[in-house]
Amino acid sequence: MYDQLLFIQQQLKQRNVETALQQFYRLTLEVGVQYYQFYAYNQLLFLTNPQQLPVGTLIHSDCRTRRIPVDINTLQGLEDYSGTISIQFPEALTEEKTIEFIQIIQN
Amino acid sequence: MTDIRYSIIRLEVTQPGQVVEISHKLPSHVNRCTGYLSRHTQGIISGVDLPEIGLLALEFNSRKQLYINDVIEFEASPGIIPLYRDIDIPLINGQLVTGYYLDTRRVDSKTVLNKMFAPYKVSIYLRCEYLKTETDVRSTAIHTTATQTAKC
Repeated sequence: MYDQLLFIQQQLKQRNVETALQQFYRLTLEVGVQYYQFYAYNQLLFLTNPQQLPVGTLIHSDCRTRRIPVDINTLQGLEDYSGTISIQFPEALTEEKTIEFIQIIQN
Repeated sequence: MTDIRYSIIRLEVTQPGQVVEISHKLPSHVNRCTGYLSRHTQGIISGVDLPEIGLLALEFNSRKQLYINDVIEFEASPGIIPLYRDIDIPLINGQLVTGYYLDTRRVDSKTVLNKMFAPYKVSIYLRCEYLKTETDVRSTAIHTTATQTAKC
Protein backbone atom coordinates (compact mmCIF):
# COMPACT_ATOMS: atom_id res chain seq x y z
CA MET A 1 0.00 0.00 0.00
CA TYR A 2 1.24 3.46 -0.78
CA ASP A 3 2.32 5.84 1.94
CA GLN A 4 -0.60 8.16 2.67
CA LEU A 5 1.49 10.75 4.45
CA LEU A 6 3.98 10.89 1.59
CA PHE A 7 1.08 11.33 -0.83
CA ILE A 8 -0.27 14.21 1.24
CA GLN A 9 3.10 15.90 1.45
CA GLN A 10 3.52 15.66 -2.31
CA GLN A 11 0.02 17.04 -2.87
CA LEU A 12 0.69 20.01 -0.62
CA LYS A 13 3.99 20.72 -2.30
CA GLN A 14 2.46 20.51 -5.79
CA ARG A 15 -0.37 22.83 -4.79
CA ASN A 16 1.92 25.30 -3.00
CA VAL A 17 0.12 24.82 0.31
CA GLU A 18 2.09 25.87 3.34
CA THR A 19 1.19 23.87 6.40
CA ALA A 20 0.81 25.37 9.85
CA LEU A 21 -0.30 22.14 11.48
CA GLN A 22 -1.01 18.55 10.52
CA GLN A 23 -3.06 16.41 12.86
CA PHE A 24 -5.86 13.85 13.03
CA TYR A 25 -9.42 15.12 13.21
CA ARG A 26 -12.13 12.72 14.31
CA LEU A 27 -15.82 13.31 13.98
CA THR A 28 -18.22 11.06 15.87
CA LEU A 29 -21.79 10.92 14.61
CA GLU A 30 -24.48 9.48 16.82
CA VAL A 31 -27.31 7.08 16.13
CA GLY A 32 -30.14 8.71 14.17
CA VAL A 33 -27.98 11.22 12.29
CA GLN A 34 -28.63 11.33 8.56
CA TYR A 35 -27.17 14.72 7.69
CA TYR A 36 -24.28 16.57 9.27
CA GLN A 37 -22.61 19.79 8.25
CA PHE A 38 -19.47 21.45 9.55
CA TYR A 39 -16.90 23.99 8.43
CA ALA A 40 -13.28 23.61 7.41
CA TYR A 41 -12.15 26.87 5.91
CA ASN A 42 -8.44 27.53 5.34
CA GLN A 43 -7.75 23.90 5.91
CA LEU A 44 -7.81 20.59 4.07
CA LEU A 45 -9.35 17.44 5.49
CA PHE A 46 -8.14 14.18 3.95
CA LEU A 47 -10.66 11.43 4.62
CA THR A 48 -8.81 8.34 5.82
CA ASN A 49 -11.57 5.83 6.49
CA PRO A 50 -14.18 6.02 3.71
CA GLN A 51 -14.54 2.21 3.97
CA GLN A 52 -16.39 2.74 7.25
CA LEU A 53 -19.11 4.80 5.59
CA PRO A 54 -22.27 3.25 4.16
CA VAL A 55 -22.40 2.84 0.38
CA GLY A 56 -24.23 5.81 -1.13
CA THR A 57 -23.07 8.31 1.48
CA LEU A 58 -22.50 11.72 -0.07
CA ILE A 59 -19.61 13.84 1.19
CA HIS A 60 -19.90 17.30 -0.22
CA SER A 61 -17.55 20.25 0.13
CA ASP A 62 -16.66 23.45 -1.69
CA CYS A 63 -13.87 21.86 -3.69
CA ARG A 64 -14.75 18.19 -3.94
CA THR A 65 -17.68 15.86 -3.60
CA ARG A 66 -17.83 12.10 -3.45
CA ARG A 67 -20.55 9.49 -3.24
CA ILE A 68 -19.22 6.33 -1.59
CA PRO A 69 -19.25 3.62 -4.29
CA VAL A 70 -20.06 -0.07 -3.87
CA ASP A 71 -16.44 -1.11 -4.45
CA ILE A 72 -14.96 1.33 -1.93
CA ASN A 73 -13.04 -1.48 -0.18
CA THR A 74 -10.88 -1.99 -3.26
CA LEU A 75 -9.91 1.68 -3.54
CA GLN A 76 -6.94 3.36 -1.91
CA GLY A 77 -7.39 6.97 -2.95
CA LEU A 78 -7.11 9.70 -0.37
CA GLU A 79 -9.22 12.76 -1.06
CA ASP A 80 -9.39 16.15 0.55
CA TYR A 81 -12.36 18.30 1.42
CA SER A 82 -12.46 21.96 2.32
CA GLY A 83 -14.88 24.80 3.08
CA THR A 84 -18.41 23.88 4.08
CA ILE A 85 -18.49 20.12 4.37
CA SER A 86 -21.69 18.12 4.57
CA ILE A 87 -22.16 14.40 5.02
CA GLN A 88 -25.42 12.86 3.93
CA PHE A 89 -26.10 9.21 4.71
CA PRO A 90 -28.58 7.23 2.63
CA GLU A 91 -30.43 6.26 5.82
CA ALA A 92 -30.28 7.49 9.40
CA LEU A 93 -27.39 5.88 11.27
CA THR A 94 -28.26 2.79 13.29
CA GLU A 95 -24.89 2.76 15.02
CA GLU A 96 -22.37 5.37 16.02
CA LYS A 97 -19.84 6.25 13.31
CA THR A 98 -16.44 7.86 13.68
CA ILE A 99 -15.09 9.56 10.61
CA GLU A 100 -11.40 10.25 10.59
CA PHE A 101 -9.54 12.90 8.65
CA ILE A 102 -5.97 14.09 8.42
CA GLN A 103 -6.38 17.79 9.01
CA ILE A 104 -4.02 20.24 7.33
CA ILE A 105 -4.24 23.76 8.69
CA GLN A 106 -2.99 26.21 6.08
CA ASN A 107 -0.79 29.17 6.80
CA MET B 1 -2.06 42.24 -28.44
CA THR B 2 -4.34 39.70 -26.83
CA ASP B 3 -6.51 37.15 -28.53
CA ILE B 4 -9.45 35.27 -27.07
CA ARG B 5 -10.00 31.54 -27.01
CA TYR B 6 -13.15 29.88 -25.72
CA SER B 7 -13.04 26.52 -23.97
CA ILE B 8 -16.16 24.46 -23.53
CA ILE B 9 -16.47 21.75 -20.91
CA ARG B 10 -19.46 19.51 -21.47
CA LEU B 11 -20.86 17.38 -18.67
CA GLU B 12 -23.36 14.56 -19.02
CA VAL B 13 -25.55 13.58 -16.09
CA THR B 14 -27.07 10.14 -16.45
CA GLN B 15 -28.29 9.33 -12.93
CA PRO B 16 -30.10 11.30 -10.24
CA GLY B 17 -27.70 12.53 -7.58
CA GLN B 18 -24.70 11.81 -9.79
CA VAL B 19 -21.31 13.38 -9.15
CA VAL B 20 -19.57 14.26 -12.40
CA GLU B 21 -15.88 14.95 -11.99
CA ILE B 22 -14.25 17.60 -14.11
CA SER B 23 -10.69 17.37 -15.29
CA HIS B 24 -10.08 19.56 -18.29
CA LYS B 25 -6.76 20.65 -19.70
CA LEU B 26 -6.71 24.14 -21.08
CA PRO B 27 -4.52 24.93 -24.10
CA SER B 28 -1.04 25.72 -22.87
CA HIS B 29 -0.79 29.08 -24.63
CA VAL B 30 -3.69 30.75 -22.81
CA ASN B 31 -2.56 32.75 -19.82
CA ARG B 32 -5.66 34.31 -18.33
CA CYS B 33 -9.32 33.42 -17.94
CA THR B 34 -11.57 36.44 -18.11
CA GLY B 35 -15.08 35.05 -18.35
CA TYR B 36 -17.21 32.17 -17.27
CA LEU B 37 -20.67 30.90 -18.08
CA SER B 38 -22.44 27.68 -17.19
CA ARG B 39 -25.88 26.45 -18.12
CA HIS B 40 -28.08 23.49 -18.86
CA THR B 41 -27.91 22.82 -22.58
CA GLN B 42 -29.85 19.67 -23.31
CA GLY B 43 -32.11 17.02 -21.79
CA ILE B 44 -34.45 18.46 -19.19
CA ILE B 45 -37.99 19.05 -20.33
CA SER B 46 -40.08 21.09 -17.94
CA GLY B 47 -42.72 23.77 -18.27
CA VAL B 48 -41.45 25.66 -15.25
CA ASP B 49 -38.13 27.12 -14.26
CA LEU B 50 -36.09 25.07 -11.81
CA PRO B 51 -33.98 27.32 -9.58
CA GLU B 52 -31.47 24.57 -8.84
CA ILE B 53 -30.65 21.42 -10.74
CA GLY B 54 -27.07 21.07 -9.59
CA LEU B 55 -24.01 22.50 -7.92
CA LEU B 56 -20.76 23.27 -9.68
CA ALA B 57 -17.24 23.83 -8.38
CA LEU B 58 -14.25 24.73 -10.49
CA GLU B 59 -10.62 24.95 -9.48
CA PHE B 60 -7.89 26.34 -11.69
CA ASN B 61 -4.16 25.73 -12.10
CA SER B 62 -4.30 22.06 -11.08
CA ARG B 63 -6.11 22.52 -7.79
CA LYS B 64 -4.10 25.47 -6.64
CA GLN B 65 -7.06 27.85 -6.54
CA LEU B 66 -10.75 27.31 -5.99
CA TYR B 67 -12.46 30.07 -7.88
CA ILE B 68 -16.01 29.13 -8.73
CA ASN B 69 -18.88 27.66 -6.74
CA ASP B 70 -22.14 28.04 -8.56
CA VAL B 71 -25.73 26.86 -8.66
CA ILE B 72 -26.96 25.63 -12.02
CA GLU B 73 -30.57 26.40 -12.85
CA PHE B 74 -32.94 25.36 -15.58
CA GLU B 75 -34.84 27.95 -17.60
CA ALA B 76 -38.01 26.65 -19.21
CA SER B 77 -37.98 29.31 -21.91
CA PRO B 78 -34.53 30.85 -22.15
CA GLY B 79 -34.81 34.37 -23.47
CA ILE B 80 -31.77 36.50 -24.00
CA ILE B 81 -28.37 34.88 -24.29
CA PRO B 82 -26.75 35.16 -20.86
CA LEU B 83 -23.62 37.21 -20.49
CA TYR B 84 -20.29 35.86 -19.37
CA ARG B 85 -19.51 36.56 -15.76
CA ASP B 86 -16.27 38.45 -15.42
CA ILE B 87 -13.44 36.62 -13.72
CA ASP B 88 -9.74 37.34 -13.73
CA ILE B 89 -7.69 34.22 -13.23
CA PRO B 90 -4.03 34.12 -14.19
CA LEU B 91 -3.23 30.71 -15.61
CA ILE B 92 -0.12 28.62 -15.35
CA ASN B 93 0.67 27.03 -18.71
CA GLY B 94 -0.90 23.68 -19.43
CA GLN B 95 -2.56 23.09 -16.08
CA LEU B 96 -5.86 21.43 -15.34
CA VAL B 97 -9.25 22.89 -14.60
CA THR B 98 -10.78 20.50 -12.09
CA GLY B 99 -13.91 20.30 -10.01
CA TYR B 100 -17.26 18.61 -9.92
CA TYR B 101 -20.89 18.88 -10.83
CA LEU B 102 -23.40 17.42 -8.40
CA ASP B 103 -26.96 16.74 -9.50
CA THR B 104 -29.23 17.89 -6.67
CA ARG B 105 -32.64 17.13 -8.08
CA ARG B 106 -33.21 13.97 -6.06
CA VAL B 107 -33.80 15.66 -2.71
CA ASP B 108 -37.60 15.86 -2.76
CA SER B 109 -38.75 12.42 -3.68
CA LYS B 110 -36.27 9.78 -4.74
CA THR B 111 -38.71 7.25 -6.11
CA VAL B 112 -40.78 9.68 -8.16
CA LEU B 113 -37.71 11.40 -9.57
CA ASN B 114 -35.97 8.14 -10.42
CA LYS B 115 -38.86 7.24 -12.71
CA MET B 116 -38.98 10.70 -14.24
CA PHE B 117 -35.25 11.25 -14.55
CA ALA B 118 -33.84 11.80 -18.01
CA PRO B 119 -30.15 12.31 -18.77
CA TYR B 120 -29.16 15.89 -19.42
CA LYS B 121 -26.14 17.97 -20.29
CA VAL B 122 -24.55 20.99 -18.70
CA SER B 123 -21.96 23.10 -20.48
CA ILE B 124 -19.32 25.32 -18.97
CA TYR B 125 -17.88 28.04 -21.18
CA LEU B 126 -14.55 29.62 -20.31
CA ARG B 127 -13.32 32.74 -22.02
CA CYS B 128 -9.55 32.85 -21.92
CA GLU B 129 -6.93 35.19 -23.34
CA TYR B 130 -3.45 34.80 -24.64
CA LEU B 131 -0.84 37.26 -25.72
CA LYS B 132 -0.53 37.21 -29.46
CA THR B 133 2.96 37.63 -30.82
CA GLU B 134 4.15 38.32 -34.34
CA THR B 135 5.54 34.82 -34.64
CA ASP B 136 2.07 33.27 -34.33
CA VAL B 137 1.11 31.75 -37.66
CA ARG B 138 -2.25 30.36 -38.61
CA SER B 139 -2.19 26.68 -39.50
CA THR B 140 -3.86 27.40 -42.85
CA ALA B 141 -0.94 29.62 -43.71
CA ILE B 142 1.49 26.81 -42.93
CA HIS B 143 -0.38 24.42 -45.21
CA THR B 144 -0.46 26.98 -47.98
CA THR B 145 3.29 27.45 -47.76
CA ALA B 146 3.86 23.70 -47.69
CA THR B 147 1.69 23.27 -50.75
CA GLN B 148 3.54 26.00 -52.58
CA THR B 149 6.85 24.40 -51.70
CA ALA B 150 5.68 21.05 -53.01
CA LYS B 151 4.63 22.67 -56.28
CA CYS B 152 8.08 24.20 -56.69
